[in-house]
Amino acid sequence: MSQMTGELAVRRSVLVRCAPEHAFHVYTERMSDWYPIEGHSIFDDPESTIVWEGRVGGQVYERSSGGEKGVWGTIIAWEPPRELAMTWHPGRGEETAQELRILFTPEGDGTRVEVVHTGWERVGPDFRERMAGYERGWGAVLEIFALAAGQGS
Amino acid sequence: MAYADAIQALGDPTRRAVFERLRGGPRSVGDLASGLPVSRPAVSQHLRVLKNAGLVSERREGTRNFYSVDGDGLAELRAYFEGFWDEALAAFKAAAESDEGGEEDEPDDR
Repeated sequence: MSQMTGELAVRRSVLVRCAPEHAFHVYTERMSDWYPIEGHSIFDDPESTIVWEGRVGGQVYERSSGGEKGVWGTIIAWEPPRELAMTWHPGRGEETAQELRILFTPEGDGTRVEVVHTGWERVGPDFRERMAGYERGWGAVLEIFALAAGQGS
Repeated sequence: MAYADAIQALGDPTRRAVFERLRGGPRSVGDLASGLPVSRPAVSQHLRVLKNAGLVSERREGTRNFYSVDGDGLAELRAYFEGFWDEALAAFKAAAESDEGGEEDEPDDR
């Protein structure tokens, strides 16, 4: 199973022309400025903002323009400016949480920012029913990926 | 977009049940139908849709066909998530670079 999990890590990175400190700041404090909230808001609210409680055990949550709060995950590593990690369950129960690890590594005169997205096998087969209201396409694809993660186990 | 076909194919609960049954390894139509409240022809039809969506592949052994989860179709799904993060990180890069050292020269549009 752990082997399958390893194979199903989704890793993507980007080279940014700024210092790790600034990249870390923009990733967290200013996530509302760049994250594709449209289509990925649990309140279906493109005006939602994303709040980071910057400490281990702190929450990352979405606040709708109407003031509703929806938790996306909990911070499990907070090491500015090099690394952060969080559980990831926007629009679904904590028991189906995946994990996101974000690494900020100096490269040349910039910073490589890498996202490592794991934990697909925890999403579970009845996932779609629990996704009511959240973006449909994303939910279905996540479910298929979760089914695949269980394949051969 | 193959993943769109996959999403559509798995939108049907029975088809999803058929797909889930293939997780343990290759199975024949008869084997799949025996555990489900649907007829053999119906299972064959569901398998055809899953196959067209790139989620299932078919292999002939003697007189019987065996079906299994298709790794290529799953690669498309991985690509979907990679695409999501690529887009998000491109937007992140734009945000991080837009205000880095540029504040003094930024013209005020108003």
